[in-house]
Amino acid sequence: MPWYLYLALRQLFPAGRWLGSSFFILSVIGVALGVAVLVVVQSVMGGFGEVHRERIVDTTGHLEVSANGRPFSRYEGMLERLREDPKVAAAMPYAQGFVMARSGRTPLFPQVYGIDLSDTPVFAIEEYLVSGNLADLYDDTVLISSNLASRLGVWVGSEVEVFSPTLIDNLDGEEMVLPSSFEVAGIYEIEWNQEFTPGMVFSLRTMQDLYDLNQSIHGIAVRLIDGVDEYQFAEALRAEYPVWSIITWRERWADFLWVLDLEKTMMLFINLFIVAVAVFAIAVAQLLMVVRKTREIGLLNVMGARRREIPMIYCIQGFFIGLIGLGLGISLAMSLLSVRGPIIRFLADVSGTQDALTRFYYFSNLPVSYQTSDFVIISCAAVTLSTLASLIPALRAARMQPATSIRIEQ
Amino acid sequence: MSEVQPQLIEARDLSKSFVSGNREIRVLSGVDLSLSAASRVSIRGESGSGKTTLLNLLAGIERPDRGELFWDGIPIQSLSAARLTRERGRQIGMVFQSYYLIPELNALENVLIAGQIMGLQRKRELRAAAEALLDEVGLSDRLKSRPEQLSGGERQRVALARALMNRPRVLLADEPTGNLDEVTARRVMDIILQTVDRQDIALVLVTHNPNFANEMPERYTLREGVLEK
Ligand SMILES: Nc1ncnc2c1ncn2[C@@H]1O[C@H](COP(=O)(O)OP(=O)(O)O)[C@@H](O)[C@H]1O
Ligand SMILES: [Mg+2]
Repeated sequence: MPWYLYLALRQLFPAGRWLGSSFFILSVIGVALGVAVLVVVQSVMGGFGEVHRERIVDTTGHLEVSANGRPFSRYEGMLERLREDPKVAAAMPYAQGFVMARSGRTPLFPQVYGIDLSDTPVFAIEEYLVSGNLADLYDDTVLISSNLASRLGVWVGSEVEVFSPTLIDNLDGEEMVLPSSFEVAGIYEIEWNQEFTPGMVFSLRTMQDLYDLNQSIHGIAVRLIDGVDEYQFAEALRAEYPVWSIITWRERWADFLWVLDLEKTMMLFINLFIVAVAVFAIAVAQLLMVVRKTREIGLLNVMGARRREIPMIYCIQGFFIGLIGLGLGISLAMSLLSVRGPIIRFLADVSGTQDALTRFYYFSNLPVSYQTSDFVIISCAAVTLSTLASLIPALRAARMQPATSIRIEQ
Repeated sequence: MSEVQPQLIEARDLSKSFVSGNREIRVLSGVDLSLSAASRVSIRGESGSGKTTLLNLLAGIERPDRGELFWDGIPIQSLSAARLTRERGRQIGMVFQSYYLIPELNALENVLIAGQIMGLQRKRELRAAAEALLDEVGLSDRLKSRPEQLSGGERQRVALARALMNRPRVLLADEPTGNLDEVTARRVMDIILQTVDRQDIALVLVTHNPNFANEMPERYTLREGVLEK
């Protein structure tokens, strides 16, 4: 072991003090707290992202096959082809659009879907039903999102009036325009993803009637077997059917996914400043130490220490503090996250916001996702920052002239 | 006796001034000194007369304004800073009035580190050498003690062992007993004299103590920048 490494460690762990010097303990705690914040925030942000991605796949499948947004009718061949593919878990024709929905006086304009439930559905709507029954979805019933239901003030069994755009087309005729009336068969709730959730789900046939589509659909949603790479699958399908539009969910939601990532990256960037603050505090303490140890540093030089060896002492200390702070910070963060449920419940109880939390943020079950890339970035950042910060005292020590250093009297 | 045998330290006409504010203080003006292995030199002088400056010049820690300095025949003006540092570590041991031990290291480690810095011996030999030196200065039972647990006299003995760790050929001692009471000072002085004799090292002793100074065969006083016999 080189002597400067030994001396660096001995200054952190002086003889007879197994816990290390107070400088070391406080520095490590500083780095650990910063790292813990980084890990907690990144893991929670990662968890949010994960939930969003899962919900998107649950509601839209892995990819969709369409004719560039135009309705199309001769899709049976494609549907067969997809359903027979061993990589495909489910393929489901759908139609989509907007309607005006009304119950009482309030009109709302939800996005609506018509889905074919004859085969395994791609939209795993049954998992999200909070009341009612999927089996009750007939041609004159409708499933409705909890959000829309509460705004319309309807419940399972209520009637909802629906005006489709085709009704407006018929306005120039002499006929009376009457809305279609649907009974609510079920209410679904997709946590986290209200914005992207369709307001109403009809049977495909009803939707085709509402939009005068005859036998046409807007697309086929495809869910793949777990572990199948959707890019490769889409590429192969495109090569096979060049005229069809085949879009994976990542392509379709690219903007949203980008925002999710951006949010996470920004949080990482902001929280890095916490580590930077800790690291600057370490640099200041080390600088004071260098000044206090001026004579000893001069003496090392008198004893023959090479010019680059003395600053190494302080860089090594910075590196070790970073490394140990990192380890401690990660452990602290993982321990906190492993008991996040009780912590959040306690906080919510204390502040009396339990209901609000569960209703709006679903914090009672905070999602967490550990990503290797986060740990790599945080580790590199913590260790590099604390090593770099110690360059300031290290350079100060390197500049000392032995003659003047050893002259300083006690 | 062969006359080509170079002196361990040969100083010729060393001069040194410091600029303090806009005033130039001439500390040394034309000092000559030569040391062989048998040299036992004492230097006295008032506080501020330049004793420490002279030792620093001899150790190559400070550069003279004028004059020449040879270590074992090597003109040290010609050495690079890095070479000079290494050469000093090999040739010269120093002890100071305030010991300058590293507080985080125990006695043994304080001695060992001098050997590790120079890396002249192998690891196992280093440890044996450090223990032998501490034994020689009478501290074989205090190896694990930290400086704060040692008395002044014991600290100076650790510092002495450290100075001797790389088998230097010259020991420069700057008021080594200045912080010690009379009895302890005597004890430390005896140990210094015994070890330099046993190891055949030249000794330059800066001291205020007239008794210690008078025990040296070669005695100087530094007055107005000049070394007087
Ligand atoms: N780096 C320096 N800058 C300015 N003056 C100095 C410096 N080093 C020493 N001196 C001055 O040189 C003189 C001699 O100092 P020193 O050699 O320490 O004396 P002594 O050791 O005999 O007490 C003193 O007046 C001191 O103030
Ligand atoms: Mg002095």
